[in-house]
Amino acid sequence: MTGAPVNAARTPSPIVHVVDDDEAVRKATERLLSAAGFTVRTHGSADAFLSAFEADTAGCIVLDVRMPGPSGTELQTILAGRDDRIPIIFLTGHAEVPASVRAIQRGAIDYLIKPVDATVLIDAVSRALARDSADRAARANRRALQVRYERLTPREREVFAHLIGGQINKQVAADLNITERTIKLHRARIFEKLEVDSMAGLVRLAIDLGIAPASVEP
Amino acid sequence: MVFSDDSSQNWIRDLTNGFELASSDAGANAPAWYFEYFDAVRFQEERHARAFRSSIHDKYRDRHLDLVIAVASNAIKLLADARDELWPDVPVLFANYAGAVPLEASAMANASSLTFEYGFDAAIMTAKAVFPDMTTLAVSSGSSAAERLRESDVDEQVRRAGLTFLDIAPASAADAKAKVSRLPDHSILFLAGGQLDDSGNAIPTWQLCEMISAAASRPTIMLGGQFLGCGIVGGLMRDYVKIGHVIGERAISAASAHPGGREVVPFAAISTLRFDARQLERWNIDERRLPAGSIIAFRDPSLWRDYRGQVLAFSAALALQLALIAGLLYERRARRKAEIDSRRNLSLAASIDRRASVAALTGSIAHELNQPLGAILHNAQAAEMLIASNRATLPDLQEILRDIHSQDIRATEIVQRHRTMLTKHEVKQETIDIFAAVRESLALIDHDAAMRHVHVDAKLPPDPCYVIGDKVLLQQVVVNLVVNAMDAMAATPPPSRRVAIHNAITAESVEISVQDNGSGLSPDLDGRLFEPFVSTKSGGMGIGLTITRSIVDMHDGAIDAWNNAEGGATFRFRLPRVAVP
Repeated sequence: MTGAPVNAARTPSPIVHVVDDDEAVRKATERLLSAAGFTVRTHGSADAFLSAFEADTAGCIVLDVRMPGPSGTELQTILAGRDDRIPIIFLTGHAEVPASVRAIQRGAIDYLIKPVDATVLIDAVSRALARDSADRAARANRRALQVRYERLTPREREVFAHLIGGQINKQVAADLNITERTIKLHRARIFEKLEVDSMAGLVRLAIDLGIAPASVEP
Repeated sequence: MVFSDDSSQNWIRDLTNGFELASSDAGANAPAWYFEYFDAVRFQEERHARAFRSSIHDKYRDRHLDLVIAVASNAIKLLADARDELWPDVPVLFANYAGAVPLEASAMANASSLTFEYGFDAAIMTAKAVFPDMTTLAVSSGSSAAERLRESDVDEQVRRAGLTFLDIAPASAADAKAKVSRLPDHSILFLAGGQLDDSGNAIPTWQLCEMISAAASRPTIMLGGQFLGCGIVGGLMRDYVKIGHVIGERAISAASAHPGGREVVPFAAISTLRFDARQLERWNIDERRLPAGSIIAFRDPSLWRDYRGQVLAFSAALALQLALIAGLLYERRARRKAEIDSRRNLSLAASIDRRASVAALTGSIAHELNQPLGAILHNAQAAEMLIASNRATLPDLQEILRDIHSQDIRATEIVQRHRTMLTKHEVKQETIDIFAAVRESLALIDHDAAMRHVHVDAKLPPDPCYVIGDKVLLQQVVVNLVVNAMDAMAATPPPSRRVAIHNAITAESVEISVQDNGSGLSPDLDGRLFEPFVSTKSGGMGIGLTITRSIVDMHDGAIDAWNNAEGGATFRFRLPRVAVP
């Protein structure tokens, strides 16, 4: 077998979108990637892709750089403006160095020169799908944590910021000018709402959400 | 940039590669990097830290620094202690795993921090996916103080993942070997680090991993992606090139921005899913069980022996076709000078010029050929994969062969079309549709125009318009004029690069004009535009327009050119019309 996983058991499979205006090339690439075990959809133009694409399905795009209508790089620009990014592998007939550097800087997985060998293409598609799945997991995780964080009241958020800064209850109480007992209550509610059971869990959640600790008076 | 360990460590090399990437992203703004290696694990004596500080102090005394970066705990701690002495006014960036930036550092003024998610739980989840029957995670933990601290809540995380935690705390290398050789069933061994051997000396982690993985009775995994190949199976692993890239990027932007930020980089952004094919085979792990998108390294290349022959065959075909084109281009190169000298034979001179034009078009030939060749390659490789995995059906294979055949014909046609332009040519006197001839010329330059971001706008009527003459030579006129127009627009911004082809028909004649948006005709050329060896193009022979006019003349036509009021130039040629043949 080849480098690609045959993902018969997994549902739903990530979709490899092949966008190329040349029908013969499109069909051959689809055939190759299908033989390697990927689920493939083909599109004859950037517009056709955009009207068929569902942002919440996992996958990646194998994209011809030059096409009539919106070009591959224009499609990259359109997709970059969206929330749910999908990784792109560019295929081109020419080694255009500045264009490839630009595309990679803007997040493309790879910029391959036709004709592309099967191993190279399959490896690039595998990397693109790995990136997509990691990105999706990270986004989902952050969204879930954000939902929990939004349950906190403004006061609880203040206490939270002090706690993750490593302050003990007594210090927090002094800083916020409330009693230590109240801080303990806040703390219990924060643990409950954020669904954590330890300070370590609390700190990890803060890190995942990118929340900075409150600055501590010297 | 101060690193905690010595420069021979793989992860430090990977980090440095990541900085290279960031530097290349920054282009001309890339800073000069200086690297120092503290080597704190192997030299734990206080006098080493003192000597290191004082040598750095001397070395950088007269050097202006924009930013100091400390990578990993020991370097951060050193910098936190010695900041006032070394670089009191230079901003500092700390880079470390989340939760491992020491307190004294996080409280420091003019300092920012970059923390990388440790990723242990994500790695365990991946391991659970790969080993569904896994019930126990054995952890062989490190022996330095920093490593102990970093892995202090590992047991809790293992339990949270629903697994039994088993601590392998080896007293020595021999003890480690003995312990890992009788691991419980359904367990996986996580190597958390550890650089010390029996006598307390440091041994490289790679060597330790090779030793333990070879002795282990169960598969081993690690978090550091730089260790894939030492005997671990693989998984979701930290990628230090990605980490270096992130640090480099932040450093380059922080050197010009305000310090004080704290940023946490998620594990997903700094990890890669990779496996070692040899270990997958050793532990009998089905590749289909690996998460989507896993990269498999160290694969036995023998699977590809057959494919390689195929690839070589197609490469050879491509090389052959390119050689054919190159050969045609250059076969009479030796005669070129004599030919130019004796320009009396128009047909001969025109053939030279055609070659020059076609040379300009080789890029588009390559592009056009790449389409059918790419399709043939993918079809053939798909067929071989289907056959190799016993999934090939006869109708599938028939269809694939049919497609390969039709793409081969397509490639041949491309070569034929360009070859016609290349061969020497007898002047013909035929009745031809001038508009059709112009359209075919434009098809030849189509890819070249797209490559140069030139929009060619041809307004040609559908009805034919007949002239008497030689189609190939008249196409040469159009190709020359359009290529000239594109050359003149090299300095025009891409959106305005436009060539407009217009026509005008009277009862006796037909006019074709080629209008561009370029630099216009140079006043120096006044009146000598169509004379031989007059050129303003670097590398131009100065015979293109001469031949163009000669061809128009021999068709009893006329050609002229002028600068447009709105910029650029227009070339126009007129030919006598004939009635419908």
